[in-house]
Amino acid sequence: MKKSYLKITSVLLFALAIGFVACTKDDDKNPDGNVITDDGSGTGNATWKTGDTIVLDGLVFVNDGQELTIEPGVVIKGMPGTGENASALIVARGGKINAIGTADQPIIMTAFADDLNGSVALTDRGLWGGLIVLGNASLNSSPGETAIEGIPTSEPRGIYGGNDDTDNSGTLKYISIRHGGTDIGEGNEINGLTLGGVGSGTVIEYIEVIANKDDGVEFFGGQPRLKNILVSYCGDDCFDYDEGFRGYGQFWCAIQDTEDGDRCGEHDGGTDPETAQPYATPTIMNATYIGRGAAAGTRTITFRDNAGGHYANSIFLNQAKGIDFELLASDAFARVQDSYQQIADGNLTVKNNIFWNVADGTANGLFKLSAPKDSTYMDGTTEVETYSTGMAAYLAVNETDFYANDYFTAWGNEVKDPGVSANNPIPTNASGTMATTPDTWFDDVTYKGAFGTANWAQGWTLTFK
Amino acid sequence: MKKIFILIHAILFSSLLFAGEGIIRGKVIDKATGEELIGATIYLEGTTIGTTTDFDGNFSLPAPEGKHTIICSFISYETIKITDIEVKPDEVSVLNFQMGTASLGLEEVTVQAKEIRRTENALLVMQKKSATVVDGISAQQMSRMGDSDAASSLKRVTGVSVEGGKYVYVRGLSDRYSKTLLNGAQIPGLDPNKNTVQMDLFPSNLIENMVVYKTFSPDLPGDFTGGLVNIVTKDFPERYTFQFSTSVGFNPQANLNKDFLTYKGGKLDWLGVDDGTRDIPVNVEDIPYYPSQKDKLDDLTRSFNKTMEPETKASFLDHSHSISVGNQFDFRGKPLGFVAGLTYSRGFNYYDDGQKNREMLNSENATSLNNQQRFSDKLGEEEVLLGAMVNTSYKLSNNNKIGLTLVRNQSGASRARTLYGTRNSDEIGMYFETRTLQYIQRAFSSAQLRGEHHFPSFHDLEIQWLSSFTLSQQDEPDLRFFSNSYYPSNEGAAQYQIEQSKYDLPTRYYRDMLETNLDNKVDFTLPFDAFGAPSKFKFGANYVYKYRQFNDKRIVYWFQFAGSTYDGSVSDFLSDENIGQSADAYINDERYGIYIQDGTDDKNSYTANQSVLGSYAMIDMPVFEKLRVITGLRFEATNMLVESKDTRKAKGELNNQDLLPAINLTYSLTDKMNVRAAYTKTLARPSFREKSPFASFDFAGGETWVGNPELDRTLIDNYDLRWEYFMQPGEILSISAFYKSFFQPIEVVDNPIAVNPEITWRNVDKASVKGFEAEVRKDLDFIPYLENFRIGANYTWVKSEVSIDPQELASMGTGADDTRVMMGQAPYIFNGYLGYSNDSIGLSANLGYNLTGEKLAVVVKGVTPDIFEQPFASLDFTLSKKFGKYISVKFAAKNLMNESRDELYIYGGKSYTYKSYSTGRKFSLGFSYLIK
Repeated sequence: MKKSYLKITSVLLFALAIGFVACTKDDDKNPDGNVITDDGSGTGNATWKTGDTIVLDGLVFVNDGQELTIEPGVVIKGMPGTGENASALIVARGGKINAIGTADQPIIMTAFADDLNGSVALTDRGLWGGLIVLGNASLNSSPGETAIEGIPTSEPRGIYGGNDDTDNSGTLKYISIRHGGTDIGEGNEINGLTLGGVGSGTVIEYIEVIANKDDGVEFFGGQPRLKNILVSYCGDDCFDYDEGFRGYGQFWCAIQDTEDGDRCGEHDGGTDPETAQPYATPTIMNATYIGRGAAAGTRTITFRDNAGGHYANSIFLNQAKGIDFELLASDAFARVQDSYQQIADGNLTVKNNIFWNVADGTANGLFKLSAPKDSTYMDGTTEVETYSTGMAAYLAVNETDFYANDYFTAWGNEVKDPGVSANNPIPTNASGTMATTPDTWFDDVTYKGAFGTANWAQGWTLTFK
Repeated sequence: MKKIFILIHAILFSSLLFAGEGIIRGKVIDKATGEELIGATIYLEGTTIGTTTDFDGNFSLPAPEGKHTIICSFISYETIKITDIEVKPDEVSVLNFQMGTASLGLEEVTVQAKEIRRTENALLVMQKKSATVVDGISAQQMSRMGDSDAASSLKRVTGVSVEGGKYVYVRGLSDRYSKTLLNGAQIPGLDPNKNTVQMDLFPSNLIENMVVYKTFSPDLPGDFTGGLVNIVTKDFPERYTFQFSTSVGFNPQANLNKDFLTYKGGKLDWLGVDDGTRDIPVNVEDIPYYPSQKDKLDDLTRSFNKTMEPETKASFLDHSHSISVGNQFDFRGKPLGFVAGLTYSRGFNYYDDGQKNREMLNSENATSLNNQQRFSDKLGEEEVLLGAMVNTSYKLSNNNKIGLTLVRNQSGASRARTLYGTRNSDEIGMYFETRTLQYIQRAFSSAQLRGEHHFPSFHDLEIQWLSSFTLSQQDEPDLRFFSNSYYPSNEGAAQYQIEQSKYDLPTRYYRDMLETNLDNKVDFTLPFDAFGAPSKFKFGANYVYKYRQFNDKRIVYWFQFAGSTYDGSVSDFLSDENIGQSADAYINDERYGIYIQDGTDDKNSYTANQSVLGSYAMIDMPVFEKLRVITGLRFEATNMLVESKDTRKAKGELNNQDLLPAINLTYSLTDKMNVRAAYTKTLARPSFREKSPFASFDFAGGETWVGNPELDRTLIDNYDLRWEYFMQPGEILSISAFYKSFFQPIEVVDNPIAVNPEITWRNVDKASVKGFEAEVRKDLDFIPYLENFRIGANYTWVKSEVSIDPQELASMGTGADDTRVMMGQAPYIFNGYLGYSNDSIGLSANLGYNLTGEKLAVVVKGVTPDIFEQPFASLDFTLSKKFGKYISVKFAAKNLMNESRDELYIYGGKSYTYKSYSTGRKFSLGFSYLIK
């Protein structure tokens, strides 16, 4: 752990710069803050104090056994760089972070180039890494631990997964994570907030991820519980889960850039094999997902690779496509374990939600089965996401026929205008029959979507300044 | 052109003979042991013209024009008399003698000169007398088979298969366990990802023979297990030889094809060198990070060329040309021999039927695999090979000889590839398209000085020494990847997109590698008599040093606007109007256009060095009349250090001292029949690439290969048993069995904790390989009407078993087998040929067949089955006809069966393609002018 106070150095550099009108890379990297690098020893039991500007140079870990405290108002800036030169803050397995901001003094994590006063455009993405929290909770991928996407597999501190589902990695509150998601090479990017094997003892509330190049928040297994999360203008999916995520979520808001981004929710069950246990069965209530609009051709939520999960009391808005559930066919009309089977088994529900300007607004258009094109009973030429002849034959042999059952209606979903927009997420018409909360962790509220009558994201986020 | 030939002739064939005189040259060897006989007397019957042989058994005898009878005699050997030798003025006649030990009643053998015309004799005699298990191929055999380079010849040797036309696999063991020497000196591989030498770099007309050692003896380097190939270049040609060959080749799939995939290269591509067109136009350190210095960033981005996709352009015919000369003449009264050669070839490969898929087993009890990726694959490749070699030898006296070899090889391969298809993880209706443009330029320069000294006055001591220096380079300038998505069913702008979160952004890599290699060696041989039979004691030392620098730079194209500016045309997308602040979308400082960023990953650059100090002592002697034992010990001290430019990465170190014992027993059942048994210990070291944390992939979206600094060397115990029968000169029948036990073998493994498919190398617990091989080469002259035919066949059967890395095994599901076959190990290899040659009409033909069994090609993550490369058969035919004394015309047809090369997953009785393509049939017509 090196903490170099480079202020004197920067004065010297400034003096030099007057002498030479040099145009080197050092000019853009000339830091104005406490530069933190990590030679392997991590941050130690440090406290970053109110008023501090911390500059992350490279991957900085909170090692196993260390505890990092970040006080309200601290600004953390990530240096530019890709690959292993990327800058990111990573809480390793066994490490703890206590980053508790306030609505008045949020903790801001942003790019080095950001002067917090418009020097970086609102939608500029990928200028630094992101925040990664790794824990000891269980995954369904074998061998039970994985190297987190974006960190080389040779770095042991990048490995997550274990068997303590109540693991506590600390507290994250009032944090705004901006302009991250740099390229790590070989097709990887860092998510705004990555939670790998994080346990339910960890507190995560009031987090904004804005303009991240990859996903907003991505879960890899574990049971973290997140409340009041705002993801806006990200380059890929807003919320993504893999490897058997079983946590809780309430008051999640996704706002997509009309020009960029993929799904609001990309939900996978297992990786290899996809049917590994424990199954992914999180519960997400009171979400508001605002999509890119009909022209962009993107999708609201995909459940695949045997993903389960429960969405309830939520609002889904402005998207070309609705929700699709993966159906895998096999020989002799035998059912296989897939997301469609998760519905039959009660592990996947989408209940009491409001849809508006999504797909064609019909029950069969909003909820679709999707099947790979070479599935035995599909038409074999294109990938299917409608009720094709082949799929009908296939489903007829099985007792439950997804389309005949009209799950959309049976689950109490409705198509109506809740009066919500990207600029004002407070609904005017979002009441109705409510699904009951499964756990006391959830707040019992009488409205659908992430917002009641007040905008909890107002003031401390970049989205709602 | 003709004038040049005449000029060359005039210069080279400056005869030092008296008018009306010719020369008879040849070699005298012991028929039983193959040993050269030193001091044998050669004279013309009825004259006083005579000479004695030197320490190589060679003689050179000037003789007057006319027909002579020549006599060769040596104490305790039968005298051989050869009649009707025709000596022409200014010409050299060649005569070799094989002397048998004198027995009662048979003291003189008389042979007519024209009867001596066997070809593979010398090599087979060497094979017979060798202390270890060897196989080989001679220059004559190579030219009869129509082989153009070392790689195509080697696959005709028992148990040898050649991978990708380049890399040698002996007994199916991968290139890791093979080694290549040039005239006994170690030479580095050109490809940093492979442990061995690319055999297609050696043109066959400069090669005297190639010998494959299959068992180790202490005087050989210890790091080969499958086989060691020694390429021996021509030394003292018996007389002036000159060859000019030219040929054109046509593959209906690859040549004169209007759809051939290529891209704009440099002006010197035809010489195998990039002219600077592909150099990086900027200094990566100067690239500002967005969003600072936008003007500069825009300028630097514009300085790159816009070529990032292949174009279609008709390909030309394959063609190759070579010229070589050789002679020996007296220089300051001593014989100086030389051969020099220049070769040039340019070839094209193309396929458009390729498939590159990925399948997955979704659950352990599923009955079929689910497709994850389905791409069609197209590839155009143009390769230029340029080789120059000079080999000179100077005989200081009958007991001293020195030689100098200079080799320079240059190759340039330009590849353009597209992959197009669907991926399961993508949006339904999305097609993924990716393009790769690649140029690999390799060069290899070697200087080798060597000497042989014989001290008759000091117990007949023989000293051989060698010092060789090699510089090799591999540059991969401007390796380009460009990927996009395509939605055929969308309309307008949404049809094409570049989605940064789904695959790599457009990327350019710049890689270069420089390696120096030094090999110094000295061997002492002391002959002595044990139980009345010739024996020898041999000892020596060897120091090999290698130093490599490898650099990798990466430039990535970014943009802050949405990808919809891309309309399917790569060059339009990269046009100046879309760059940075010029982009239409760039308003109020938002949605900045295309810009480059330095994406260099320091971990991908490294320096490495390795020194291996070897020393040995061995003895070769009979223990009783028919049993010969060769035994000894070699010591090798290895020091390897691989340092990544990213100093946070662990250094790859190797410090080993190994004792490698060997015992080889040869029991002569009869004069023509041996039984051999051997126990040897050998080792295998990781390559620099494998020990560096360097990560690379073939195409965007393909598996990533990552090195492992913790790799250790492998130790191998080898057991060999062989029975061989040399029926007639030039004929052999042999059967061998072998067993190899590996400690800590290095295997290619899947890294189960990686999110994306990542392949790495690890030392696994152990492995074993057992098998047998059989070879027959036989003239059919005992069958009436088939006098001119000969057949040859060899077959190798191998069973291998290697333990699976425990971490990987844990991810493979319950009940998974804890062993599998070795990577790249074929369970069987079959080679067969049928040859016809009729010297009286100058016609020869050959039909060759090769079949290699299925091999483990890719280790797949988790429960999904591994991928096997399917058996591949090839059938080649050559026909050549002589016209007059010097000219011959040759027709060759290769890969006549044109089987597709398939790599498959096999699950539940069904096969699923992972990779498939076919290379096409190739026909060539060649002309050659040869003076021999």
